[in-house]
Amino acid sequence: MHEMSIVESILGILREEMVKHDGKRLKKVTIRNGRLAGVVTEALEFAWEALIPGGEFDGAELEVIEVPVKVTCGECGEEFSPEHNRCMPCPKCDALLGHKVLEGKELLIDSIEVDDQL
Amino acid sequence: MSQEVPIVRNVLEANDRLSDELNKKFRVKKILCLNLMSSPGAGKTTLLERTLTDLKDEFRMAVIEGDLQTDNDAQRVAATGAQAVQINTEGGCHLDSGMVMDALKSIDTEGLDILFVENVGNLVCPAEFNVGEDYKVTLLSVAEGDDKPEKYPFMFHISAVMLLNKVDLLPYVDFDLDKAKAHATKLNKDIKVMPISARTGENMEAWYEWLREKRAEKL
Repeated sequence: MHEMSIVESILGILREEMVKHDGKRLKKVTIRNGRLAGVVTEALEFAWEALIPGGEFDGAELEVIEVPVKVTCGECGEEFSPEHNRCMPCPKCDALLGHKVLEGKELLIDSIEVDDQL
Repeated sequence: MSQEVPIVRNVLEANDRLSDELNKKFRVKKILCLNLMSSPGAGKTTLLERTLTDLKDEFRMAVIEGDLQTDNDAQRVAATGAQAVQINTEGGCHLDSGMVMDALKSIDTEGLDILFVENVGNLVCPAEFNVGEDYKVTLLSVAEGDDKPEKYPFMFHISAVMLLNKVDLLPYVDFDLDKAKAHATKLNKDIKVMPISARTGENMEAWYEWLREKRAEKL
Protein backbone atom coordinates (compact mmCIF):
# COMPACT_ATOMS: atom_id res chain seq x y z
CA MET A 1 0.00 0.00 0.00
CA HIS A 2 2.64 2.55 -0.98
CA GLU A 3 -0.13 4.57 -2.65
CA MET A 4 -0.56 6.28 0.74
CA SER A 5 2.95 7.71 0.65
CA ILE A 6 2.53 8.49 -3.04
CA VAL A 7 -0.49 10.65 -2.20
CA GLU A 8 1.64 12.35 0.48
CA SER A 9 4.22 13.15 -2.24
CA ILE A 10 1.45 14.47 -4.48
CA LEU A 11 0.20 16.73 -1.68
CA GLY A 12 3.72 18.13 -1.20
CA ILE A 13 3.92 19.09 -4.88
CA LEU A 14 0.36 20.50 -4.85
CA ARG A 15 1.21 22.79 -1.93
CA GLU A 16 4.16 24.20 -3.89
CA GLU A 17 2.12 24.64 -7.04
CA MET A 18 -0.74 26.36 -5.21
CA VAL A 19 1.66 28.99 -3.92
CA LYS A 20 3.29 29.33 -7.32
CA HIS A 21 -0.03 29.93 -9.10
CA ASP A 22 -1.60 31.92 -6.30
CA GLY A 23 -4.51 29.48 -6.03
CA LYS A 24 -6.88 29.70 -3.09
CA ARG A 25 -8.77 26.50 -3.64
CA LEU A 26 -7.81 23.32 -5.46
CA LYS A 27 -10.68 22.03 -7.56
CA LYS A 28 -9.08 19.14 -9.35
CA VAL A 29 -5.79 17.40 -9.96
CA THR A 30 -5.05 15.16 -12.93
CA ILE A 31 -2.48 12.38 -12.62
CA ARG A 32 -0.99 10.30 -15.43
CA ASN A 33 -0.39 6.78 -14.15
CA GLY A 34 1.67 4.53 -16.44
CA ARG A 35 0.69 0.87 -16.45
CA LEU A 36 4.26 -0.02 -15.50
CA ALA A 37 4.57 2.55 -12.71
CA GLY A 38 3.55 0.01 -10.09
CA VAL A 39 0.74 2.18 -8.77
CA VAL A 40 -2.79 0.86 -8.54
CA THR A 41 -5.33 3.48 -9.60
CA GLU A 42 -8.02 2.22 -7.21
CA ALA A 43 -5.59 2.26 -4.29
CA LEU A 44 -4.50 5.77 -5.24
CA GLU A 45 -8.13 6.93 -5.29
CA PHE A 46 -8.74 5.19 -1.98
CA ALA A 47 -5.73 6.89 -0.38
CA TRP A 48 -6.88 10.24 -1.78
CA GLU A 49 -10.36 9.78 -0.28
CA ALA A 50 -8.79 8.86 3.04
CA LEU A 51 -6.32 11.75 3.26
CA ILE A 52 -8.15 14.70 1.71
CA PRO A 53 -11.29 15.34 3.82
CA GLY A 54 -10.90 18.02 6.49
CA GLY A 55 -7.59 19.29 5.10
CA GLU A 56 -6.58 22.20 2.90
CA PHE A 57 -7.63 20.36 -0.28
CA ASP A 58 -11.00 19.20 1.05
CA GLY A 59 -13.43 18.66 -1.82
CA ALA A 60 -10.78 18.51 -4.54
CA GLU A 61 -11.34 15.93 -7.23
CA LEU A 62 -8.70 13.43 -8.32
CA GLU A 63 -8.64 12.27 -11.91
CA VAL A 64 -6.30 9.43 -12.85
CA ILE A 65 -5.50 8.82 -16.51
CA GLU A 66 -3.99 5.38 -17.08
CA VAL A 67 -1.24 5.48 -19.67
CA PRO A 68 -0.80 2.29 -21.73
CA VAL A 69 2.61 0.77 -22.33
CA LYS A 70 4.49 1.58 -25.53
CA VAL A 71 7.87 0.04 -26.36
CA THR A 72 10.37 -0.23 -29.19
CA CYS A 73 11.61 -3.71 -29.95
CA GLY A 74 15.23 -4.33 -28.93
CA GLU A 75 15.84 -6.41 -32.05
CA CYS A 76 14.09 -4.77 -35.00
CA GLY A 77 13.07 -1.37 -33.65
CA GLU A 78 9.34 -1.89 -34.21
CA GLU A 79 7.17 0.34 -32.02
CA PHE A 80 4.25 -1.45 -30.40
CA SER A 81 1.84 -1.56 -27.46
CA PRO A 82 2.10 -4.99 -25.85
CA GLU A 83 -1.02 -6.82 -24.79
CA HIS A 84 0.50 -7.89 -21.46
CA ASN A 85 2.81 -5.99 -19.14
CA ARG A 86 5.01 -8.98 -18.52
CA CYS A 87 5.42 -10.92 -21.71
CA MET A 88 5.95 -8.63 -24.69
CA PRO A 89 6.61 -10.49 -27.94
CA CYS A 90 7.34 -8.15 -30.85
CA PRO A 91 4.55 -8.43 -33.45
CA LYS A 92 7.10 -8.13 -36.25
CA CYS A 93 10.04 -10.35 -35.20
CA ASP A 94 8.81 -12.18 -32.06
CA ALA A 95 11.71 -10.94 -29.92
CA LEU A 96 10.94 -11.01 -26.18
CA LEU A 97 13.89 -9.22 -24.64
CA GLY A 98 15.66 -5.90 -24.72
CA HIS A 99 12.67 -3.68 -25.51
CA LYS A 100 12.94 -0.03 -24.61
CA VAL A 101 9.97 1.42 -22.75
CA LEU A 102 8.79 4.65 -24.39
CA GLU A 103 5.66 5.20 -22.36
CA GLY A 104 3.94 3.61 -19.41
CA LYS A 105 6.53 3.97 -16.65
CA GLU A 106 5.60 7.52 -15.72
CA LEU A 107 3.74 8.76 -12.69
CA LEU A 108 3.14 12.46 -13.27
CA ILE A 109 0.99 15.26 -12.01
CA ASP A 110 -0.35 16.45 -15.33
CA SER A 111 -2.38 19.52 -14.43
CA ILE A 112 -4.37 21.17 -11.68
CA GLU A 113 -7.53 23.25 -11.69
CA VAL A 114 -7.45 26.08 -9.18
CA ASP A 115 -9.84 28.77 -8.00
CA ASP A 116 -8.57 32.17 -6.98
CA GLN A 117 -11.33 32.35 -4.37
CA LEU A 118 -12.15 30.13 -1.42
CA MET B 1 -12.32 32.47 -11.30
CA SER B 2 -11.01 29.02 -11.91
CA GLN B 3 -8.18 28.09 -14.25
CA GLU B 4 -6.46 24.95 -15.38
CA VAL B 5 -2.70 24.90 -14.93
CA PRO B 6 -0.45 22.36 -16.64
CA ILE B 7 2.17 21.06 -14.19
CA VAL B 8 3.80 17.86 -15.46
CA ARG B 9 5.88 16.96 -12.42
CA ASN B 10 7.08 13.54 -11.42
CA VAL B 11 5.24 12.47 -8.29
CA LEU B 12 8.31 10.77 -6.84
CA GLU B 13 10.61 13.67 -7.63
CA ALA B 14 11.14 14.58 -3.97
CA ASN B 15 12.35 11.06 -3.21
CA ASP B 16 14.46 10.92 -6.36
CA ARG B 17 16.10 14.23 -5.48
CA LEU B 18 17.06 13.00 -2.01
CA SER B 19 18.22 9.71 -3.49
CA ASP B 20 20.54 11.56 -5.91
CA GLU B 21 21.88 13.60 -3.02
CA LEU B 22 22.62 10.47 -1.00
CA ASN B 23 24.19 8.78 -4.00
CA LYS B 24 26.49 11.77 -4.54
CA LYS B 25 27.53 11.65 -0.90
CA PHE B 26 28.35 7.94 -1.18
CA ARG B 27 30.39 8.61 -4.32
CA VAL B 28 32.45 11.31 -2.63
CA LYS B 29 33.03 9.14 0.43
CA LYS B 30 33.66 6.06 -1.74
CA ILE B 31 31.00 4.04 0.08
CA LEU B 32 29.32 1.18 -1.76
CA CYS B 33 25.61 1.33 -0.86
CA LEU B 34 23.34 -1.66 -1.44
CA ASN B 35 19.57 -1.78 -1.10
CA LEU B 36 18.77 -5.28 0.14
CA MET B 37 15.20 -6.38 -0.55
CA SER B 38 13.17 -9.56 -0.10
CA SER B 39 9.95 -10.90 1.32
CA PRO B 40 9.82 -11.35 5.12
CA GLY B 41 11.75 -14.40 6.27
CA ALA B 42 13.90 -14.87 3.16
CA GLY B 43 17.01 -14.44 5.29
CA LYS B 44 18.24 -10.86 4.83
CA THR B 45 19.42 -10.52 8.42
CA THR B 46 21.13 -13.92 8.44
CA LEU B 47 22.88 -12.99 5.18
CA LEU B 48 24.08 -9.77 6.75
CA GLU B 49 25.20 -11.45 9.98
CA ARG B 50 27.40 -13.86 8.06
CA THR B 51 28.68 -11.26 5.58
CA LEU B 52 29.55 -8.79 8.34
CA THR B 53 31.34 -11.51 10.30
CA ASP B 54 33.24 -13.07 7.39
CA LEU B 55 34.41 -9.78 5.86
CA LYS B 56 35.07 -8.04 9.18
CA ASP B 57 38.81 -7.76 8.59
CA GLU B 58 38.42 -6.68 4.98
CA PHE B 59 35.84 -3.88 5.09
CA ARG B 60 34.29 -1.37 7.43
CA MET B 61 30.55 -1.95 7.10
CA ALA B 62 27.34 -0.51 8.50
CA VAL B 63 23.67 -1.42 8.26
CA ILE B 64 20.50 0.63 8.20
CA GLU B 65 17.69 -1.69 9.27
CA GLY B 66 14.12 -1.08 8.18
CA ASP B 67 11.28 -2.83 9.96
CA LEU B 68 7.69 -2.07 10.78
CA GLN B 69 8.31 -2.69 14.49
CA THR B 70 11.06 -3.83 16.94
CA ASP B 71 14.83 -3.51 16.78
CA ASN B 72 15.44 -7.28 16.85
CA ASP B 73 17.31 -7.29 13.55
CA ALA B 74 19.44 -4.27 14.43
CA GLN B 75 20.49 -6.06 17.62
CA ARG B 76 21.45 -9.18 15.68
CA VAL B 77 23.48 -7.12 13.24
CA ALA B 78 25.11 -5.04 15.98
CA ALA B 79 26.22 -8.26 17.70
CA THR B 80 28.66 -8.80 14.80
CA GLY B 81 30.41 -5.58 15.76
CA ALA B 82 29.16 -3.56 12.77
CA GLN B 83 27.37 -0.24 13.19
CA ALA B 84 23.61 -0.68 13.00
CA VAL B 85 20.78 1.85 13.01
CA GLN B 86 17.13 0.91 13.21
CA ILE B 87 14.32 2.64 11.34
CA ASN B 88 10.82 1.68 12.43
CA THR B 89 8.37 2.58 9.71
CA GLU B 90 5.37 2.12 12.03
CA GLY B 91 3.40 0.26 9.39
CA GLY B 92 5.05 1.77 6.30
CA CYS B 93 5.77 -0.88 3.67
CA HIS B 94 9.12 0.45 2.39
CA LEU B 95 12.02 2.76 3.19
CA ASP B 96 12.46 6.04 1.36
CA SER B 97 15.44 8.34 0.91
CA GLY B 98 14.33 10.75 3.64
CA MET B 99 14.34 7.97 6.22
CA VAL B 100 17.77 6.77 5.11
CA MET B 101 19.11 10.32 5.23
CA ASP B 102 17.90 10.67 8.82
CA ALA B 103 19.31 7.31 9.86
CA LEU B 104 22.65 8.18 8.30
CA LYS B 105 23.10 10.94 10.88
CA SER B 106 23.62 8.24 13.48
CA ILE B 107 26.33 6.46 11.48
CA ASP B 108 30.00 7.32 11.46
CA THR B 109 30.70 7.30 7.72
CA GLU B 110 34.40 8.11 8.02
CA GLY B 111 36.33 5.28 6.43
CA LEU B 112 33.17 3.30 5.80
CA ASP B 113 33.45 0.89 2.85
CA ILE B 114 30.02 -0.68 2.51
CA LEU B 115 26.58 0.44 3.68
CA PHE B 116 23.75 -2.07 3.56
CA VAL B 117 20.20 -0.79 3.64
CA GLU B 118 18.03 -3.70 4.75
CA ASN B 119 14.64 -2.77 3.39
CA VAL B 120 11.26 -3.72 4.84
CA GLY B 121 10.34 -7.32 3.99
CA ASN B 122 8.05 -6.93 0.98
CA LEU B 123 8.48 -7.82 -2.69
CA VAL B 124 6.37 -4.93 -4.00
CA CYS B 125 6.79 -1.40 -2.65
CA PRO B 126 10.53 -1.23 -1.82
CA ALA B 127 11.25 -1.58 -5.53
CA GLU B 128 9.54 1.76 -6.24
CA PHE B 129 11.63 3.98 -3.98
CA ASN B 130 15.35 4.59 -4.50
CA VAL B 131 17.36 5.14 -1.35
CA GLY B 132 20.62 6.46 -2.84
CA GLU B 133 21.93 2.96 -3.50
CA ASP B 134 24.47 1.88 -6.12
CA TYR B 135 22.72 -1.44 -6.62
CA LYS B 136 19.55 -3.21 -5.62
CA VAL B 137 20.00 -6.77 -4.41
CA THR B 138 17.01 -9.09 -4.11
CA LEU B 139 17.09 -12.14 -1.91
CA LEU B 140 14.71 -14.98 -2.72
CA SER B 141 14.64 -18.12 -0.58
CA VAL B 142 13.93 -21.51 -2.07
CA ALA B 143 11.18 -22.03 0.51
CA GLU B 144 9.10 -19.35 -1.22
CA GLY B 145 8.50 -20.86 -4.63
CA ASP B 146 10.28 -20.52 -7.97
CA ASP B 147 7.51 -18.42 -9.51
CA LYS B 148 8.29 -15.31 -7.43
CA PRO B 149 10.18 -13.47 -10.21
CA GLU B 150 7.21 -14.07 -12.47
CA LYS B 151 4.75 -12.82 -9.85
CA TYR B 152 6.73 -9.81 -8.64
CA PRO B 153 8.45 -8.77 -11.86
CA PHE B 154 9.43 -5.20 -11.10
CA MET B 155 11.74 -6.03 -8.20
CA PHE B 156 13.68 -8.56 -10.25
CA HIS B 157 13.66 -6.28 -13.26
CA ILE B 158 15.60 -3.57 -11.42
CA SER B 159 17.92 -5.69 -9.26
CA ALA B 160 21.57 -6.24 -10.16
CA VAL B 161 21.70 -9.46 -8.16
CA MET B 162 19.26 -12.19 -7.21
CA LEU B 163 20.56 -14.23 -4.28
CA LEU B 164 18.78 -17.58 -4.07
CA ASN B 165 19.04 -18.31 -0.37
CA LYS B 166 18.50 -21.45 1.73
CA VAL B 167 19.74 -23.85 -0.98
CA ASP B 168 20.44 -26.30 1.87
CA LEU B 169 16.64 -26.80 1.92
CA LEU B 170 16.44 -27.81 -1.76
CA PRO B 171 15.97 -31.55 -1.01
CA TYR B 172 12.86 -30.71 1.03
CA VAL B 173 11.06 -28.19 -1.17
CA ASP B 174 9.76 -28.08 -4.73
CA PHE B 175 11.94 -25.33 -6.05
CA ASP B 176 13.36 -25.39 -9.54
CA LEU B 177 16.55 -23.29 -9.57
CA ASP B 178 16.69 -23.21 -13.37
CA LYS B 179 13.08 -22.09 -13.63
CA ALA B 180 13.56 -19.25 -11.14
CA LYS B 181 16.73 -18.23 -12.95
CA ALA B 182 15.03 -18.36 -16.36
CA HIS B 183 12.16 -16.17 -15.14
CA ALA B 184 14.51 -13.62 -13.62
CA THR B 185 16.70 -13.49 -16.73
CA LYS B 186 13.67 -13.02 -18.90
CA LEU B 187 12.85 -9.88 -16.91
CA ASN B 188 16.43 -8.68 -16.70
CA LYS B 189 19.07 -10.22 -18.90
CA ASP B 190 21.93 -8.74 -16.84
CA ILE B 191 20.80 -9.99 -13.43
CA LYS B 192 23.46 -12.03 -11.57
CA VAL B 193 21.96 -15.12 -9.99
CA MET B 194 23.81 -16.63 -7.03
CA PRO B 195 22.48 -19.69 -5.19
CA ILE B 196 23.69 -19.51 -1.56
CA SER B 197 22.94 -20.61 1.94
CA ALA B 198 23.55 -17.83 4.44
CA ARG B 199 22.93 -20.34 7.23
CA THR B 200 25.49 -22.99 6.22
CA GLY B 201 27.80 -20.61 4.35
CA GLU B 202 27.48 -22.50 1.06
CA ASN B 203 28.69 -20.53 -1.95
CA MET B 204 28.95 -17.27 0.02
CA GLU B 205 32.32 -16.67 -1.63
CA ALA B 206 30.58 -15.83 -4.93
CA TRP B 207 28.64 -13.07 -3.15
CA TYR B 208 31.79 -11.79 -1.43
CA GLU B 209 33.62 -11.68 -4.74
CA TRP B 210 30.81 -9.55 -6.20
CA LEU B 211 31.01 -7.22 -3.19
CA ARG B 212 34.78 -6.89 -3.57
CA GLU B 213 34.46 -6.15 -7.26
CA LYS B 214 31.76 -3.50 -6.82
CA ARG B 215 33.53 -1.91 -3.88
CA ALA B 216 36.76 -1.71 -5.92
CA GLU B 217 34.86 0.04 -8.72
CA LYS B 218 33.93 2.84 -6.32
CA LEU B 219 37.56 3.70 -5.54
